[in-house]
Amino acid sequence: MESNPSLDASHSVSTPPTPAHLPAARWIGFLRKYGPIPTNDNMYDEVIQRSMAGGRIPPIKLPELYLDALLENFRSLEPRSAILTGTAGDGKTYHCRRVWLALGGSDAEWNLGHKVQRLDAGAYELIVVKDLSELAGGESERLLTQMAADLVGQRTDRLYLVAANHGQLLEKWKAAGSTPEAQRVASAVEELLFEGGRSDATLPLRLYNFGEQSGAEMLPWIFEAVLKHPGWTQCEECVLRTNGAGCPIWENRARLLGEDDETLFQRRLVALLELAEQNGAHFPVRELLLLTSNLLLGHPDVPEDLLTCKRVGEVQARGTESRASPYRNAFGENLTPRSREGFDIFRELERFGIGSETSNRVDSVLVYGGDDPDLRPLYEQLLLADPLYGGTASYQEARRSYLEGEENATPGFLNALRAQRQRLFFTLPDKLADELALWNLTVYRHAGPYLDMVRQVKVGGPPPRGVLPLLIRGLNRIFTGMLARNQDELVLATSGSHSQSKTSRLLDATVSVPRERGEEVLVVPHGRGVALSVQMTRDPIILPVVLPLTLLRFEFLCRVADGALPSSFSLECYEDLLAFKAKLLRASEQRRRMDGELVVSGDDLVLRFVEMGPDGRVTARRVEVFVG
Amino acid sequence: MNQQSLLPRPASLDASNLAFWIDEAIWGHRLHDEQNPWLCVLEFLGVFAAEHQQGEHGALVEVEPNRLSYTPMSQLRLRNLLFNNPHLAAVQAEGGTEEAQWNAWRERMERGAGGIPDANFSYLRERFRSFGDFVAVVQFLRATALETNSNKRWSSKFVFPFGPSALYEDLNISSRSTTNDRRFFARTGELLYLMLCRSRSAAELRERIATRFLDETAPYNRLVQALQGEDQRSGTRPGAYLPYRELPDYDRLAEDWLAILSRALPTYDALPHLVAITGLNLILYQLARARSILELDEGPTLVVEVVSPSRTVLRDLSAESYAENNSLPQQALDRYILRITETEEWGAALISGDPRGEARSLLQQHFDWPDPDDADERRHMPTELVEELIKRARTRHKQHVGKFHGTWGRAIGLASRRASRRTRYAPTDALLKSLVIGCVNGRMEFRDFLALLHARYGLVIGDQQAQNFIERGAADQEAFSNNALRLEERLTSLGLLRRLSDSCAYVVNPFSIESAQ
Repeated sequence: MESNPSLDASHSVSTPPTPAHLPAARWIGFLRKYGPIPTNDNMYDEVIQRSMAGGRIPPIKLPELYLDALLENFRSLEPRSAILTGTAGDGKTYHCRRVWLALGGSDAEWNLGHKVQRLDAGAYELIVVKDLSELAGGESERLLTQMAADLVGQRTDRLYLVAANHGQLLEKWKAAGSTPEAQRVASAVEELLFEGGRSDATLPLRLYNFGEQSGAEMLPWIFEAVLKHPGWTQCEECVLRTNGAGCPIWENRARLLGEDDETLFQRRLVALLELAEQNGAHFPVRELLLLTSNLLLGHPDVPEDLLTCKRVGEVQARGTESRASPYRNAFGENLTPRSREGFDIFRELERFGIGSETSNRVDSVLVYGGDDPDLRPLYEQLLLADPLYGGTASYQEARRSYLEGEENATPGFLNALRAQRQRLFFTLPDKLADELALWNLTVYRHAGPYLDMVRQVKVGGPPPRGVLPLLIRGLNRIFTGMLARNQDELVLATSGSHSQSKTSRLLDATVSVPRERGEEVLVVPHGRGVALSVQMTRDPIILPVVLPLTLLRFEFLCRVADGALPSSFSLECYEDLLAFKAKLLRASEQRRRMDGELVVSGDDLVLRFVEMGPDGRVTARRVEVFVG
Repeated sequence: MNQQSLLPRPASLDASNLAFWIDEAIWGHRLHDEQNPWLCVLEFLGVFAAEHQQGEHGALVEVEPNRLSYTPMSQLRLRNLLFNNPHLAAVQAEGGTEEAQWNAWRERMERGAGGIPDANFSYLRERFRSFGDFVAVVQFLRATALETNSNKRWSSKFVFPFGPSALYEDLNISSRSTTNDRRFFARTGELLYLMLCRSRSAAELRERIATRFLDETAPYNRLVQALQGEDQRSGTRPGAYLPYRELPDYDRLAEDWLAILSRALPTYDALPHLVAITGLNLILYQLARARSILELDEGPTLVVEVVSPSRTVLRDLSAESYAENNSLPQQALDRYILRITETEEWGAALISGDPRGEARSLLQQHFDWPDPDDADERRHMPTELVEELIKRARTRHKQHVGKFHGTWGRAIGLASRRASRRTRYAPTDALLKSLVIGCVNGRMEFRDFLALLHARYGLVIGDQQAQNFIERGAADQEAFSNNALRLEERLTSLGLLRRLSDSCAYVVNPFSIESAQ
């Protein structure tokens, strides 16, 4: 091989190999199709089927969350029709096809691509619609009208398996609502979708909502399927792995596999997804595949910002391997801001502010660690130990020119700093997480205890110590508008006028946090997350008042309890908490009514004003008014 | 265009204060910018209470149009105690026995009280266990008073409308006299009252408003009574005028009130939403009347920017939409005057023997101008006269009615200059919440919500509603769909929206009856 004299001698660079020498090119090309590219065709099962057949690549095995349940249903003695719904790319068509095959349908017939397929499943005929939106208006109306009649008529010899996106599902059912049966099914479907739940009490119908799948739970599944795909065996013969600083794709795969660090990178990614989901985000399978593909292949300098094997050679020739950092790719930073905008998963991950947020400690290491003997060991451990994406020559150069105050050095260094904070978020060892305040690298500084709380409470445990008092103190400050220190009781105060007013000087009631006379405040499992649950009385008629603890609310309450009012997200949380207070006040009124305390005693009026004592605890001052 | 005829101007309406009859003829007597939406609703509640307690036919009944005449309360003892009572802290600081404190305070208070000859506050002492308790109650009522006009005279400050005893009219109180100078109760609340009277839902509303706002036994109403003692009433207030007998605007307004009052919200919490929705309805009323005079076929359109961190096409479009609407009332005013020159009578006047005199008397008849005794105007030719009238009418219009759209728009959180030099429609979270509470019972698909806001209030937010703008190339589909997306995110963060997937989201009203806990 000829050497290229124009390139940096420190890289043992050779001419990029020709495609013939790139054994994994086809596999990487296939993986690339899952990435954030305009022709992101691989969200469609049909397209994947075709490209696999052409390339003889075994499929990436997707999570089959509902397949067992579906097959069990269709093979049972009392099978019911099923609706699969979700967003594009979460595996509906895939499930349809698998059911079709499992019940005796043939690949050949399926591949004819009929919009409505019929299968003799023995005891019944199964009508399969793999995508309801493919049917024209009249066609779907006829089908749904018939389906509704069959469902309401409890017909057992004809069943349906229908897949549709959420929006289209409702739209089609509403459009078909000309018969009473169709209207009934339409409202049942809407109810199931909105309230969650799998089956209607009166109709022989099951609804499988792919939107309920947790991306955080599926992600390790997908990593396993992609990172251990047989396609990678072809890389073993590839010359790119030994060129230059190595093959970034191969390197990124190794880092994501995490065989040396107990899958640290994966775990941090899962934590981010879990946190985002607690804030209401949803990640379909397609987005997870997109993230995985981008993590492995992202590079800002190549066409469509995703590497191919051929481009790896070019990158090596230019010595820009470090720009394939998977820690930046995780946030789509290999993409232009505009194209990044188009992908939910990057929008959601960007909200964590990783790269912009930091702690003094981390920045000290990153900026001064090279020169400060106290910080030097950390600098070596956290930066220099990773010559590819960490303490690269270009990072050290940027740092030096910044510290020496060279002109125009700042913007470049700040960018490099951003990339390092991102890398540290994913690589900071667990042992150092507390010391270096891992979660200060995100906007959610209390995300660590939050995750612990969610994980512990969901399996029936108590929240970590100290969390509940913090939440209560935060709530009391919001409820009274004063810097109250009470944390063993909830102080329910009102303004007397409307609940939007900032301070609340009238005490309505207090609720003990430890169990006492039927009162109790707990953190309990709630849906997919956890909630604060306030029990006012032993009487079961008054249900506990519940506040779902999203990450955002948790962070807000903790910061308020710490004495700050974070303006950036205060407004929206404030509204939520006022609504929660309103519910508590209603329950309190109900409790008084049941206790017979609401009867006006003669002409007198008793008011209890909230006053702050010298110890920062609020107490009540009783004032009587004798109304003439 | 179905031009409804204007109702005749009531004889009781004293014209001596009005230079001419133009703004009032178009919009009623009257839309006033200095009376903000809170004060409008307060004035309304005062009218409602007076008619409910004393009116011959009860509240919200109009037997003959524009004959409203009511006797609001003045509650001068209460108002002096709360807003003209700077003595409490000083008396407490001086200390002394209970007896001494009460006496020292009474002496100062009775001397300084405004609008009450022979003020006597001796009844208070037996109502409280201590002077300190009395002070605490006064402070509480002050803290809950409406902050609608913080730097205004004490006689224009208002206690929260806890109940009937807390409703009174705005007054101008000096050492010599007490008058209702219509400074902050400028009759916009009377317009609101008449609109609801003439709506299809008047009867149903009467029940609701009376039970919710006029509960004598509400605890804080009794507290207010304890301070006020016997109710005090002002003189009779005639002269309200609303020009049209029926308008869809009235029905929409009334439906919005009913909707909000039917939600599972405490009455006091419903009030801010009623105020906001009333503001929006009156703004739309002003624009709709203007468009009708201008013979523009469609109802008002407001392009709304859901605030974005960076500048967008929507910001410009919204600013243009605001500017266009803001200019409509004055255009309508011009048009309203100029219409007379297209009439046969005007033509006849011009060719008559005395064109100046005939034209003058026509103008006199229609617009109450010029003053027959005003010699100055006799010199003008008819066209000059019209020009002069337009000039004067514009000057007057610009002082108040012309500012109404902008001032009220900002007051209810509809219009804003946030991050921009131009005012635009960029609603606050509070207004969005009021819209959800007013429009959504239970849940509603997000796209249906956008369609409803458009059909009902002319608000253009998403691409489905913006077809006109997209077709003429003012903005692309994406600009509007991103705008809708931002609304979705805002509503989500306010807990008012649940997104099931990228193709399906529901707006949820947490205060609907069925979802109330």
